[in-house]
Amino acid sequence: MRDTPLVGLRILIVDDEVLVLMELADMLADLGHIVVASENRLESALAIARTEPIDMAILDINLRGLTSFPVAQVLRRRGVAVIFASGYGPSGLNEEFREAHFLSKPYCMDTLGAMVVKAHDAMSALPSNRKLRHSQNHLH
Amino acid sequence: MNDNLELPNSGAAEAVDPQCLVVGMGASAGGVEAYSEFFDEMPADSGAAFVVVLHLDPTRQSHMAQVLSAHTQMPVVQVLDKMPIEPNHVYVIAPDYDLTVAAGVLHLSKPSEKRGHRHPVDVLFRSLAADQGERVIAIVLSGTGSNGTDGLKEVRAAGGLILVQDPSTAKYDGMPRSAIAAGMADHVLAPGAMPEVLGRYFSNAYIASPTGGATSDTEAQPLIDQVLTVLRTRTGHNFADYRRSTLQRRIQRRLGLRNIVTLDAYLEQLRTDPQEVAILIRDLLINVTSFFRDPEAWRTLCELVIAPMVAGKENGDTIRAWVPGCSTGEEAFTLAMLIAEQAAVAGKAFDVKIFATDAREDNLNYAREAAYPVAAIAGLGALRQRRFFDGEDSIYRIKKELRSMVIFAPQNLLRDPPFSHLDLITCRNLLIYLEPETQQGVIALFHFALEQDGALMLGNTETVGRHGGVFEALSKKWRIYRRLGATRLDIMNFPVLRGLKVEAPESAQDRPPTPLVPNVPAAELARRALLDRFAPAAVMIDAASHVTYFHGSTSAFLEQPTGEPSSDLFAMARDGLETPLRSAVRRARADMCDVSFEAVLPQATGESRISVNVSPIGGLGKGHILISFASIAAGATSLPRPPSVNLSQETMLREELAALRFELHNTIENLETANEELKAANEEATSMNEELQSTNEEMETSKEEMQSFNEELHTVNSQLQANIRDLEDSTNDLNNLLAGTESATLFIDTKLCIKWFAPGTRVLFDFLPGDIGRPLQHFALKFVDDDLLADAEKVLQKLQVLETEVRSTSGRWYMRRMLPYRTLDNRIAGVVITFVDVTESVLARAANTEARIFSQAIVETMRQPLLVMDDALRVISVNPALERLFGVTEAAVVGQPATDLAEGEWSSPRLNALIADLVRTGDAFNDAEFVQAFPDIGLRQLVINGRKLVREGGRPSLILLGIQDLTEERLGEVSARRLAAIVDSSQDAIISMDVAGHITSWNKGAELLFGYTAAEIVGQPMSILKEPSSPVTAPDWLEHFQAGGGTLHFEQQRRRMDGSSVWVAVTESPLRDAGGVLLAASSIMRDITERRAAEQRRETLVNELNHRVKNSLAVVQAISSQTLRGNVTLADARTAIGARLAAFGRAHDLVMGTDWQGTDLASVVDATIEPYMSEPDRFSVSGPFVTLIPQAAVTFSLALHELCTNAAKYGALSVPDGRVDIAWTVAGPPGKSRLVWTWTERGGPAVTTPDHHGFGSSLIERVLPMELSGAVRVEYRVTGLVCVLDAPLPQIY
Repeated sequence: MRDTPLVGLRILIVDDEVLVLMELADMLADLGHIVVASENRLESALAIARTEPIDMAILDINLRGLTSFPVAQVLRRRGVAVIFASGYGPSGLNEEFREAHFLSKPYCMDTLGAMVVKAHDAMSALPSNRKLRHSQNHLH
Repeated sequence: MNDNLELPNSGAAEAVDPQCLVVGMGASAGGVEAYSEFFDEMPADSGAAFVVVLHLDPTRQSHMAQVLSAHTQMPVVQVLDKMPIEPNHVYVIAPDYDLTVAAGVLHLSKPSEKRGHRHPVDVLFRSLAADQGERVIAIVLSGTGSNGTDGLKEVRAAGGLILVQDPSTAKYDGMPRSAIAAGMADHVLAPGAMPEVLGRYFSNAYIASPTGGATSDTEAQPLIDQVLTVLRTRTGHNFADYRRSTLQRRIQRRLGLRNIVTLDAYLEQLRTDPQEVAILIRDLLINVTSFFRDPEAWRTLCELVIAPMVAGKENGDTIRAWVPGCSTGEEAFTLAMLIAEQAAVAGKAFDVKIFATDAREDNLNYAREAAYPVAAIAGLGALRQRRFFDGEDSIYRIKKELRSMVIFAPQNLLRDPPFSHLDLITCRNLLIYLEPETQQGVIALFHFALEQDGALMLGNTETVGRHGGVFEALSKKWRIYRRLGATRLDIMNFPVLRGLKVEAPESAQDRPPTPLVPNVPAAELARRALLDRFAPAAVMIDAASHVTYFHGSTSAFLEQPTGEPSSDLFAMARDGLETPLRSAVRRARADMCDVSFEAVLPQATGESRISVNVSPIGGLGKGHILISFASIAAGATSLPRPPSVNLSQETMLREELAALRFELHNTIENLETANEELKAANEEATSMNEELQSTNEEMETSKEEMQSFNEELHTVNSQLQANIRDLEDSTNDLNNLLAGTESATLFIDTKLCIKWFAPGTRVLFDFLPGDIGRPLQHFALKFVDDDLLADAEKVLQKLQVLETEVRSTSGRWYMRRMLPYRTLDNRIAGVVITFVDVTESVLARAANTEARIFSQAIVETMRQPLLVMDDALRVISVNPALERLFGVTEAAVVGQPATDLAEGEWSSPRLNALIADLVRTGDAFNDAEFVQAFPDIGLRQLVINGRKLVREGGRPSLILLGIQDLTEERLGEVSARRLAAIVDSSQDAIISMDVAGHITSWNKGAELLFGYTAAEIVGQPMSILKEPSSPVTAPDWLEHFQAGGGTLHFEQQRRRMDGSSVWVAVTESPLRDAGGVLLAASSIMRDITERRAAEQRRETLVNELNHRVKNSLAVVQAISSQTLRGNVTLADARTAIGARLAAFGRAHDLVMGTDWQGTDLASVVDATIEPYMSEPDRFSVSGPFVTLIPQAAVTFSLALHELCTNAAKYGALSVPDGRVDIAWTVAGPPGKSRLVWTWTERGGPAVTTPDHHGFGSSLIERVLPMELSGAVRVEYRVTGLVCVLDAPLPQIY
C-alpha cells in the first residue's frame, strides 16, 4: 500500500463506446487523475499516444473491429503504463500483451483505482522507466 | 508170529454166511477212478461183499456211494454202525470214521489218530484179517503214502489174498508201491483186471470152504511131502517139521492164487518155476510181529529177567541174547530197548549182543534197514520214540546205539547150528508152526544155547513141553523160563548132525548111485584083496598126527571120542594105548626108524594084548607114519621081534616119563602162547566181526540202493524210450507244423548261435543247412533290425517276451517275436525268434491309427458337443465341447445315465422319444431343434443329430449324439446382420485394415467421404488417405495397438481422392484374438467440416456476445452513473435511468433485428419515438434510406430518446398541439456525402436555453457527435428546440 494516494497521473483513455469513455473519464477525475485525452478511434488514439506526454493509458482492446494493440506498442516503447480493458476477458489479449494489466468490463471505481496503482507501481519498478519518467516529469 | 492163523473157525466166521467173502478195498488219492474201473468189471452176482475205504474229507458229506452206484449193479451203501455184511453189496466208509469188521458186522469208530495220521485202510485190513482169517481178500488201489501196507501184513499172515493195483495204472502210486515193496502183493494188476482174478479165486477150493481144500489130509499127505522135498532140495529150507495142517493150507492157498486145481499140477509148477518156489517159501515163513507185542509179556520179562540180569552183571560185561525167527526185527529191537533202558537205569554199560536171526533174507534186509513206518511205532509212546528213533519224513529209523546192539544173521533154526552162551532167548510164536516133535528139539537146542540160569521167553501158546525138567517157569502166563542144570547133550539133537543124518539118504536118493569102476586093473584088485585079507589093521597119520587113512578094522584099537569127530590119532586111541603110542610115534619121528611095542588094552571081556608097529613112511612127506595094530592071541608069546628097536617095559616107562615131562613142558608153553594168540585172535576176530557186521549192513544198504537205483534206471529208461517216441512224434509234428505255416522260426542258443531254423526264415536270412551252430551276428539281415541281438540278450536276461515289428528290405512288415527257449525243466536254453508277416495288418493298423487320430482330433477340436452312450443310454464318452456346454468333466459323467447330464434339464420327452426310436430302429435323426433351459447357462438353442453305431462282434451298439449349440450363432447372426446394416447405412466411413496397414473393407460412408469406391481402395495402404498438411499428426495406431493400447480417438485432416482435404473425427479400434494378438484394426471416420465451422461460429458468437454483453453492461453502468451524477433526486434518477435503459433496450432490439449488420435510420427513429406517439400526428418523419452501423444506431437512438424526453417535459410534446418534425437529407458527392438530420419542435411552449447541462444534453451534444464523427447543433428557438446533426456517410467502423 502506498503511503499517500496516487493522484495526478496523466492518462489517455481509449474506448469506442463513448458513453463508457465518458464514465471512465469521470471516474479517473474522481480518483484525482488527469484525463489527457478520451479517444474512440484508433487513428486519433495513436496520434495522442505518439505525441502527448502521458503517464498511463487505459485501452479498450476492440475499437470498431480494430485492436488497440498498436497504441499499446507505441506506449510500451515510450514506457507508458498500459491497462487494457475489455468485455472479452484476458483471452482477448494477443501474445505480445499476454502479461499486460487488464480490466474486465464492467468494472467499479475501486477496481480501477487499484489497477491504476498497480500498473503505475509496476512501471515504476523498472529502472529505465523510472529514469524515463523522471525525465518526462522533469520536462513536464 | 501170528496167533490169528488159528482163527478161521473162530466164532466170528459163524455169524457170517459161510459163502460170503468179504473183500476189503483201500484207496486214497485217485481212488475214485480206480474204484470205478474195478466195479465196471466186477459182476454183481459174485457173492462177495465189498468194503470200500477211502480217505474222505471229515468235514464233508460223502457222495462216494452215489458215484460208485453208477458203476455197479450192486447196492452201494454208506456204512452205518453195526450194519451186517450181506453178499453182493458194496459198503462205503463214512467220512471221519474208522471202519472195522467184527463177526460179519461193520463197526464205525472215531479214529484215534489225528487227521493226516490216520490209516483207515490199515484198520480195515487188520480187522478183516482177524475176522475173516485166510478167507480175507484185500485190495490196495491208487493213493499216496503207505496206508494199507501194515494191514496187509496181517492179511498175509492170515493167509488172505492181496491184490495191488499196478502202480503204472494208478493215478497216485504211493500206496500200491508201498504194498508191493513190502512184498505183500499176490497179484499186481490194473483195477479192471482184478475182478477176473477174484472170480477164479472165489471158485477155488481153498477159499470155497472154510476148512480149506476138499482134499483130505490122507490123500494130500504124500503130495505135500513131495512139495516139501522140492522145497528142501531147491532152497535148503526144510519144512518137514512144520505143522502139516498149516503147510497144507498155505499150499492150498497158493493153488488158489495160481488158479491151480490139483496138488499134482502145482507140484509140476513148483518144479519148473523157481519163482513160485520162492513165493511159497515166503508164504510158509510167516512173520507177523510188532514192537512190544503183548506189552504185559515184555514188562514181565523186564521185571523177572532183564532187571535181575542187569543187576547181576558188572559194568562192561557182555550180555548175549538170541531172537530166532526175528522176522523184520521188531522183537529184537524191543529186547534191545528194554536192555538199554534197564542198563541206563542201573547206570551200567554193557556189551550187548542180540543175535537176531531169520531164515528169510528179505526179512533180514528189512530189519537191517531198521526203518519203520509211523504206524509201526505209534504204540511206543513219545519217550521211546524220541529216545530210540530218528524221524525221517514218515519213516522212523532206529538210532545207531540200538542198531549196534542187534546183529542180524540168516539162520534157520531147524537147519543151522545155534548160538551159545546166551543170557536170554526170546522166541515168540515160532514153535506153533512146528510139529510137536520138532518143537521139543528146538527147546533142547535153546537149553544148550543158554548159559546156566539163562532165560527163555516163548509165545503165549507155547510151552517147553516135556523139557519142563530143565526149565523152571518164571512166569507161567507169559511163558518165561529159566534154564536149569548142566548141558544135556543127550537131549540135544544138533541140527547139523540131524541134517547130516537126514541128508544122507537124500543125497543117495538124488545122486545116481556110484557105478562100479569097470576098468580097474586086475593087479590092483588082487593087491587090495591081499591087503584086506592079510595086512593088519593100520592107520596112516600125517605130521600133525591126524589120521589120513584107515586100513582094516581098527575098532579094537581106536575109537571116536564123544564130541565133534576128530581125526587125531591120540584122541582116538583106546585107553592104555595112547601113552605108548605117543611115545612110539615120537621115537619113530625122531629116529626115523620103526618102533614096536606091545600093550595091554582093557576089554569088556578082560584084557587083550596087542602089538603095535610104528614106522615112518617116506615119499608122502615128512612126518607121515604108518601104524599097524595086531592082536596077540592069548597065551602067545611075544611076536618074533621085527628088526627094530624093541623096548623093554622099564626103559619104555622111563623114556615115556622123560618124554612126557618134556612134552608137558612144551605143551604148557605152547598152550600159554596159544592162549595169548587166541586172545589176540579173538580180539581181532571180534573187531573184525564188528567191522564185517557194519560192512555187511552197508553192503546191504548199497545193494538195496543199487537195486532200487537199477529199477529206477529201468523205469527212467522206459520213460526215456517213451519220451524218445514222443519226441519223434513231436519233431514230426513240429516239422510239419512249421513247414505248413511257413512261419519264419529261428532258435538260437544262449550264445546267440543258431540252433535251428525253419525253412521260412529264408526270406529274412541267408541260412544254409550247415549254418547251424554259427553265431547269428555273422549273418546279414534281409530286414531292418538294429536291435535283434540286443533284444535277444535282453530276452535271455529278463526272460520276457519281446515283440517288435521289423521291415524287410523287400518292404514287407514282420512281427518279430522273441521269447525264452524254455526246456521242459524250465531251464532257459536260448531264444525263440519268430517272424510273422504282418504287412497287411501293419498297413491296416497304420490306416486305422491315422483314422483314429484323425477322428479323435476332430472330436476333440470340434466345437460341437458330442455325446457317446451305450444302448442303455449311459455315457461312454463326451468331448471337450460337451464338457463346456454342460459344465461337466468326462471323468465325472462316464457311466452315468445320459439323461442325468445337466441335472436332467436337457432331456426332453421329444428328445427321449427320438433317442428311444434310434436305439430301437437305428433310424438316425438330423437337425432336431430344441430349446432347453440349462441350470447355469440359461436358455440354449440346440440342434441335435443322432446316430446309432452298430458294432461288430455282437458288442452293444453305441449311440452318438452330435449337439450344436446355435444360441450364440443365432445371436451372432442377428447382431452381424444388424452390424452390417449399420455399417452399410452409416454416414461415417467405416474402414478395416490389416496389421500391415492395408485396407480390407470400405463402406458406403467411406466412399462418400473420400470419393474412392471399395473396389478402388481395398488392398491399398491406409496412408493413401493421409493429408500431409494436417495440423494434427495421427498417433501410430499399429504401434499403439501392438503395445496393447485401446481404442484411439482423435481428429485429423485427411485427403480425399480429388486431393481436397477434409476434417474427420477418427476412432481406431484394435481387433485381437483371444490371446491378445493384434489381428486387424478398424477405423471409423466422420466428416466434421460443418461441425468445425459451426463450432467456430459459435465461439465467435459467444465471444462477441460476451463482449457485447460486457460492453452493454459498461454502457448501462455509464448511463446509470452519468444519470446519477447530475443534481437529481433519487426518484427522478430512478425514472430517468429506467427510461434510458428502456431506450437502450429498444435500440438493441433494432440492432439485433438486423443482426448487427446495419440499421435503417427511419426504423431507429420510429422505434425511438414510438412511446411518445400519444397522438398520431405529433411527429412527422421524413428522409431517405440511410443505414447506420449498430453502435451509431444505439447512440443515435439514445440521443433521440433524450430529445423526446426533453420535448415531453419542456418542449413541443409537453402541450397537446405541439409537433416535432424529424427530417434528414443526404447530400454531397458519393464517397463524401453527408447526413444532415434535423429535429424541429413547433407549437410548444417557448423554450429557453437551460442553465445546466444534464446527462441528456451531454449525450446529445457530446456523445452523439463523437460517435458519428459529426457535429450537433442545438438551438433553443422561440418556436421550439431545433437539433441538427451533420455527420459523414457512410458510417464506418
